[in-house]
Amino acid sequence: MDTLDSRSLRYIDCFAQKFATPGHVHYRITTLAGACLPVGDEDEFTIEVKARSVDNQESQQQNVQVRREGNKFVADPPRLEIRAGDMVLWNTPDPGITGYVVVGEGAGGKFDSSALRSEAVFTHAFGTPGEYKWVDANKGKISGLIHVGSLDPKDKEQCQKWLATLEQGSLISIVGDSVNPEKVEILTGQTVFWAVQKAPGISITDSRLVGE
Amino acid sequence: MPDIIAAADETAASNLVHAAETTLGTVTKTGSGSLGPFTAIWNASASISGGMIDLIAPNVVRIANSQFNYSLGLNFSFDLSTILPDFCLPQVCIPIPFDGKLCTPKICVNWPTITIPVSHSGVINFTADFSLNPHLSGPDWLIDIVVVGIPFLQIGPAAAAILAAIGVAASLALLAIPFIGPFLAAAVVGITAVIGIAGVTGLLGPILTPFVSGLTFTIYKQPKLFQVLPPALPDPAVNINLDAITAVVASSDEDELVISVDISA
Repeated sequence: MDTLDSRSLRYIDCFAQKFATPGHVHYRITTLAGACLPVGDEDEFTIEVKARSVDNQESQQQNVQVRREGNKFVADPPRLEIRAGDMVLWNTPDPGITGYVVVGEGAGGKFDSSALRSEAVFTHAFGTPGEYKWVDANKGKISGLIHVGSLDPKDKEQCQKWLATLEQGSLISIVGDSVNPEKVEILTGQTVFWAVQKAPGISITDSRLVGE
Repeated sequence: MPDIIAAADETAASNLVHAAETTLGTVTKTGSGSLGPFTAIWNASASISGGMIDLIAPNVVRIANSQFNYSLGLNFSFDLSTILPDFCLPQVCIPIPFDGKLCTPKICVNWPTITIPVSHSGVINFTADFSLNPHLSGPDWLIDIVVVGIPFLQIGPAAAAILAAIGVAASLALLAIPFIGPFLAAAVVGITAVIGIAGVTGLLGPILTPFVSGLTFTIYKQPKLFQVLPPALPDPAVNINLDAITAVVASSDEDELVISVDISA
């Protein structure tokens, strides 16, 4: 059975952060163990958040690929220039990367994929059927349930339907202690988005990983 | 003229052979071999039991319908990318509360190499001719029966059963593979098709045949030198030396295993 944990991102996960305040952001990509170390100016990856020139201009999404070079995680591109209000999404195409965390700091404050605070999104594509109870491993009260259904592998019609459903994601919205919806039903291969509007630094973690 | 002649009819010879089968017990072997395009690591154990004894002059002990009981465990690795198509989860876009919409990138699944463990036990009936071989081994005279040639083992049904077991084991192993979903059934078919009955037979023959090739049962064992006590004192104990032993199948009214012994004191 698969597991999910926003504190240890893999190739079937994404982390996205909205940057609303103009200024300089620096961040590093590390493991969960390295996430508690302070973010410093020496951290090599940067995001330059420019002021938005036109107020009604639609926000953009920028993607950063995470790769491994030797013992280090690297961001591609390492430097990014965005407009205030844009989202940056991190993902790795490498199934061999077993778990990473994106942690940074800028004019708008801190952000951390292992402790989701404000206008952050964690996504996970569920690969195997089953019941997944998720909790906040950072001692918060929130939790929820994802039911991942299977399909008859011998039914070719179901296969076509399944492929179509893969493009449909499910959204879970989190504000403080409020989770909406608490239960989601999807099919194997579908993606769930946890959109954290405001929270005290939560994780989205499979309850089995924290012994619940 | 030998000093001692002992004869065993087919019933008595059966008792000797079946006792020898029990003494031989279970034999275990390990190794690796080709399973179709794969290399399988295997361990096998086998024992032989039962069978009808037919004594055929001048030197053949035929064991008919003997049961070859085997237990086989094998492991092989399978790179799923050789049979599954390249597969990517599509880009997924969704409106989120504090932004317009967010899209995940296309995520391509990397099919792993899986290890498939298979266990199978079965029984194969076989018939084989054995020749008598009395010989001195260290301090003992032994009468062995040694299989003649390489007995034929009918492994076709076993191969079919093992291929089915591979299918079941593959299904279980594949269930744990993320995103295999609708490819599961095709993957099982792909794995068993790539191996085929011929692949299993090609592995099974070299594993099982050595258990019966050169098969030897010791049906009689006697120290060359042993002491015989007198029926009453004052006669002393006498050391008897078995100088020679021969064993043949004699055919008269009925077929008998005849053991002749020359002794000296």
